[in-house]
Amino acid sequence: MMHTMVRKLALTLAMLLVLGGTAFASGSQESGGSDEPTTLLVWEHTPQFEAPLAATLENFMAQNPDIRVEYEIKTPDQYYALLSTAIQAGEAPDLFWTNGTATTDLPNLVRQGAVMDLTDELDLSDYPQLAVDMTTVDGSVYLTPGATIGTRAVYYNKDMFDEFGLSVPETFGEFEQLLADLSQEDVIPVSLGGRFTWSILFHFEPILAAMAPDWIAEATAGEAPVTDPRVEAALDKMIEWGEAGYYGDGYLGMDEGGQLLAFSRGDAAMTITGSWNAATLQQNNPEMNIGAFQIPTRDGREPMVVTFATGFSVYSGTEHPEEAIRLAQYLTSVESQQIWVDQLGDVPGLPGVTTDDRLVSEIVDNDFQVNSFYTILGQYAADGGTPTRIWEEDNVRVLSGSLSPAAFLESLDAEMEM
Amino acid sequence: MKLLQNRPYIGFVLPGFVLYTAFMIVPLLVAIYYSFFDWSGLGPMTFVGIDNYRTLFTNPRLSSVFWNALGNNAKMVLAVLCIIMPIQLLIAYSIDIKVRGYRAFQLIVFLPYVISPTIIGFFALLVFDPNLGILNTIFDALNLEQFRSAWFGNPDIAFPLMVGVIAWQGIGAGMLIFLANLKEIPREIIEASIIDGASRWRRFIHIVVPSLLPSFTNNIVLGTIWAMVQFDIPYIVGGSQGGVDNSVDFMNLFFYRFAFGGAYFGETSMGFGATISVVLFFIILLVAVGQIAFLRRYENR
Repeated sequence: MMHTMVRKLALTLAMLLVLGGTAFASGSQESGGSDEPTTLLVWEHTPQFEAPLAATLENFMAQNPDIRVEYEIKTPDQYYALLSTAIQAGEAPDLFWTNGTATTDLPNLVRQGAVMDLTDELDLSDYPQLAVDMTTVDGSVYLTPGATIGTRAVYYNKDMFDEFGLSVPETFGEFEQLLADLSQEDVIPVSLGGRFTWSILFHFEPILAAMAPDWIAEATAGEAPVTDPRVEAALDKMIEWGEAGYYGDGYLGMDEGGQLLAFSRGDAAMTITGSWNAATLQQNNPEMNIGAFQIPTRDGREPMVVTFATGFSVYSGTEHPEEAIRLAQYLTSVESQQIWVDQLGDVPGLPGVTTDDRLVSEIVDNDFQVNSFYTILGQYAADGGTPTRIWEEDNVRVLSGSLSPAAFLESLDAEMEM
Repeated sequence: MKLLQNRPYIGFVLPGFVLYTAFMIVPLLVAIYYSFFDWSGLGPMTFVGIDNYRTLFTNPRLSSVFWNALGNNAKMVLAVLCIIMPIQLLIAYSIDIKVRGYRAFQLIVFLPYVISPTIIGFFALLVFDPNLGILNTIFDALNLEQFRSAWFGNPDIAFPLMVGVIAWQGIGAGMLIFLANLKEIPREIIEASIIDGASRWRRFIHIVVPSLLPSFTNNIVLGTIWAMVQFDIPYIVGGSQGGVDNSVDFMNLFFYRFAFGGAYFGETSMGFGATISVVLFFIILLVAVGQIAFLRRYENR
């Protein structure tokens, strides 16, 4: 009995060795072939960008048969931890996403010598200066610019508006009246993921832009503190709307997914979120007739909050610098950016890149552009200060009422230097 | 070789010792080392002495979040010891005395334990999501809108609700420890008590409970550690910020926010994250050692 078992075990091991050896041998042959394309690896930080990345890489590979590009999609909340570990281990991908100068991560990577200087490799002359600024550290370019402008918009259910006899507001007063009118119907006027810090940011910024565009201009120039009563008034307005039930009675228990689904299911008449969610909303419910507008100011102008998207850095330790640079150059081209915009359904950020998406055209219908509140926080962070982190951690508490807007803004101001 | 011949037990202990050192002692020492530095995880490490510890305990903003998270861990310990453990004992005893349908009961209690806490967290959201959840939908269908709630979004009820979900998920483990111990109680003692006319309740108090002291020790220590290292379910139902007003924030979530940061939560701070993990380690160590010392003395009586 024992002998039989031993014989079976020995036979199994022998088979495994033979099969393993064959596989190893065939693998060795493959990698040894001289016509084999060079393989590059790209990391992207969110599943949201998988489709545009896959499409544009496919096009690149068709044009560059000597290069094969693989990609891996990571999760946003662990992205930089994974990237740091990979860089420390010397196994970073050839190209990887970073959010440029919006946070201190790219400057840190530059100081580490972990990213390649692309100043002489990329032609960014057609890009808007704000987009180039996102890619530049100490005067050198370390990142391909993004294809899109990230903006925020009010998405609304057109059929529902028709049913209730409502129209797109032309002043801030009309927008407030619209919320009040919708609250009389059996519907959530505007859905909000109140426990998700980023939903709150993308909701707050258009309100601030509509209520205090002058403060944004002054703060961008470093001339108005965050404790300004105009900012406090915008936070107060969000709280007031929450208390009035405009976000629904359970909004503090919802995250971004719940917020978008509430709109897509027809439970909410409107939702305020990023332009990058336009495609998601359309896919969630293709039957829904969705429109978009910017919250108007009191005097009837439509401001649009703008942040430029970012692209990919090249790892300084890549084994294939020539091919990696070629990919970075392609990613900067109008052709690649056009594919990205078509796939993502977002707002184009480069002259020459166009969109025929009706919803996107409605989103970008604006009278003037303003800076993002979050960008201002990052721009004027004191040395060692972390106003963006405090904003992210505490904005939910402002909505729940456990932290006053004034105290919250004081704590942000303490971390800033203007 | 001679050493091994003279002391053969070293051959048995060495592999475990090497693995334990590599995966427990070394990371702990490294974490303690990092806690004295300002370091994002990449680049130069700046030695800051005990600044990270001072910041953790004295910075008004951070210390309030820290004490809140630690307080929630302490409340969770109390919930485990005062609510969950007695329920585990009662369930184990019911199964041991073979109440009607005890096999099905055993399965129902133990089943959630073999499901990943992440999935349990997802189940909880399916039930308690304010907009899509089953519970609010049922209240709507029954015209009982007054019972609708934000559930995990309501700081007043989020914590007890989460204790309920965690208890449902993990109650089977401690129950099994009690049950195994119950099976070891000599039947003769039980039979003698029956002949003497002891009621079930008296039997439970005077024979069963004293016989279960070893499993009480295990369950108290393991339950305390369980309560101190909560992460998955609070993360899923409350996000990494620990819910509205940090109502379901725990030390592990607090640590996660700093150590892993990420594209959502700003820059990482490995040095400060390491400081939180070291403090958490010593708190758990002190509590566990204290409990074991106390309970062993009680057992020996």
